[in-house]
Amino acid sequence: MKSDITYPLNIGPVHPAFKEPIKFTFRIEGEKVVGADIDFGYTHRAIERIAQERNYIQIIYLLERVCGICSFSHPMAYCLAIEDVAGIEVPPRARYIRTIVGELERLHSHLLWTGVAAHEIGFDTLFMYTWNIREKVLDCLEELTGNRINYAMLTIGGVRRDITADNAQTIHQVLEYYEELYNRTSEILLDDLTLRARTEGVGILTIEQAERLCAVGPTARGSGLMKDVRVDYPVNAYYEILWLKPVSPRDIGKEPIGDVYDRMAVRVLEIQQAIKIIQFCMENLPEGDINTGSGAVKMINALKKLEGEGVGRYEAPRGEVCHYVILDNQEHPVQIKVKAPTYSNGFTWAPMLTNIEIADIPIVVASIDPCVACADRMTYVQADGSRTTISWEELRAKSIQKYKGVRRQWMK
Amino acid sequence: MKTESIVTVLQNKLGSHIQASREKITNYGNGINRVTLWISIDRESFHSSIAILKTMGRLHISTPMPYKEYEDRIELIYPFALKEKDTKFSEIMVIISVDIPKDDLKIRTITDIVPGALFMERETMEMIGVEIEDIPDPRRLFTGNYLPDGVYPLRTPKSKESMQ
Amino acid sequence: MLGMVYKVVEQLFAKKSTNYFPSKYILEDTADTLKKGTIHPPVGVKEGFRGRLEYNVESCTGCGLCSKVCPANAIELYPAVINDKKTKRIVIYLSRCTYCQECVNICPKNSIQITTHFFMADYNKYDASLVVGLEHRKKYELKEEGSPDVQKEGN
Repeated sequence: MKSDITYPLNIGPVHPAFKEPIKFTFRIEGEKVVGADIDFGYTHRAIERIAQERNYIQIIYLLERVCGICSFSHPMAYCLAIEDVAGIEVPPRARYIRTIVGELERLHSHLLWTGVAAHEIGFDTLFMYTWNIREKVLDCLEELTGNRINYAMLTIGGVRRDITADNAQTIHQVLEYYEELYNRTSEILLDDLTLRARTEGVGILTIEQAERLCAVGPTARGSGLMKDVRVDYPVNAYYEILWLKPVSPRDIGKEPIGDVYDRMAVRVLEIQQAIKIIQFCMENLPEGDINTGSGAVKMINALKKLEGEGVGRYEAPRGEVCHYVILDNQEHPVQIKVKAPTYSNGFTWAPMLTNIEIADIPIVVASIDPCVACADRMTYVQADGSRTTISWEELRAKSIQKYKGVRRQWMK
Repeated sequence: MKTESIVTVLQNKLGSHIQASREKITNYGNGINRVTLWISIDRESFHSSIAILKTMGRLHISTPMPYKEYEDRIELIYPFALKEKDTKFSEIMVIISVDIPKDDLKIRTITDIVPGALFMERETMEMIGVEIEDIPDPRRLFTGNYLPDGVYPLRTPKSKESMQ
Repeated sequence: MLGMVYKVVEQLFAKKSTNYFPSKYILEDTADTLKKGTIHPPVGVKEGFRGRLEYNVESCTGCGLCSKVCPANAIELYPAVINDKKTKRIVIYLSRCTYCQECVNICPKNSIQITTHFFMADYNKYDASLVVGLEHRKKYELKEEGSPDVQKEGN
């Protein structure tokens, strides 16, 4: 094909290469991608809008469902924001438990990502392998919180479950298991020739671009931009861990250039860092209360009388999660703004996807660990195909009618 | 970073365009503070104030813009995270709020200073209905083209019935 | 790399661990199922697992706190007559339940209990086994002309 002819290539909204619906329009020149355009919005669920009609306790569980994998991070940021407005002091033990669960989540999220990345380059054995070893941390989370995902662990002013002696033993066992496996796994992930051939020099995001485009999390750190909410901003127990610093490919003696390999290295190193953080927290777990002691109804009544604005930031496995809440003497927040890591990182796809080959598109797209559901957390409700607009009230009445009908039918 | 210095620098350069500022400092011991700084700026000098903030350090926009609705105006809130030094826990939240009258819902883009804010500005345009001037990409971000003009999902009134 | 090969070989000879769906039907008809293959008992859950909810209609006072905190609006209050007194009772739609345990924590009389039971798969989400308190509702519900049969609906 002549090199001066470009043609468009549509991938998505639903495509086996991506795990979630997202639409890309590439401009292709021969085998090279010369331009990329992203279209979001295929998994909208109106979460910010729904949150305006739920009370403060219900919202925690609503926000857990912004994303299945970061199901600890979103309610965490929300609780931090509400605690910021209300000036609630979280007991030290609760802060440590929050850190432990958060790091366990990071462990399983990064293992999940390595599996997905391996799958995207066709290395399915590694995919099965990492997902198999991920089971252990999920079982640990199940024992600790009651669920494998959507932990329902957080409440405003603390956590809902304590870590008992039995739980502590399980955590120690799990950590030992991963420490033992870490060397073997990191060797496969960082030194394997197939993986290196597919990831090195692909999907480059320079440090300047990362800073300009406000990249967050492993995407930013893979480019050498030392951005980590755990270190930049005091949250949970992280500010008591003095040795904590953002990881970068420099830790394995490689100057970061911002390719897929660097982002993978950051995630692999963060698995090790997460193990260390949990060990630190288990050793230094303070005694005391795990929450403020006021029940859900009391908390709702206290927050009802408040007015103000608050910010909650938390470093999710994928990057910064930030929630902004506005309270105005109501049982519901007036506004709640949710920013997921993919929202910030989505924009970095444009430079990454330029000048790569078509076959590399899936791995480059997956390299920021996209969570489209996170970014698409709100929607507008539309009628079926006929392009007529239904108002919120009408839609609500219709759904209730439908729900009632179904219920009556089965009640008889 | 001292919050006073940010306010002072802005006030020296922009004078009375800075309408109000307040700060909230939460102490975590060992000299670690969580600092949030709210600044109200009028619409004319909003763009130049962001340019000044950008010169102070690494400027990162944290969330899409929330808003507060009043009878005759909308207060648009830009939450930034500003990091001046490379020391730990030195990032502070600088929250800039701008009043926009309802009969002229327009504000200048900041994508020329913070390019990463493009998605957030596009979302503001489609969800709240504030027109962003000179935005490089005015398409809708989340809702498709089937949404009729003049409908802004986040500004629909709450239904009384659902409040119970 | 070698470690992974070892793991792959190990997996080749591992026992199969899948069952027919929904597993609750298997338990009724063990003999027939055994003809088709073996039954693998489910992986056990630890103490503290959030499973099926249980409801004690006698100790319930009808205060409605549970339906207030329920994030999924899975709890429905209905007017009831018990011992000739007008009061309220609840039903819990497990198909909507998110198993967050808020209602268990908030109940002043401990009328709602969480169990570790997790065999709940069914083809019909309004099946009697998936609506906790349905049999009490049929017995106690106040059936008055004009009273709404559904008090609380989801958003």
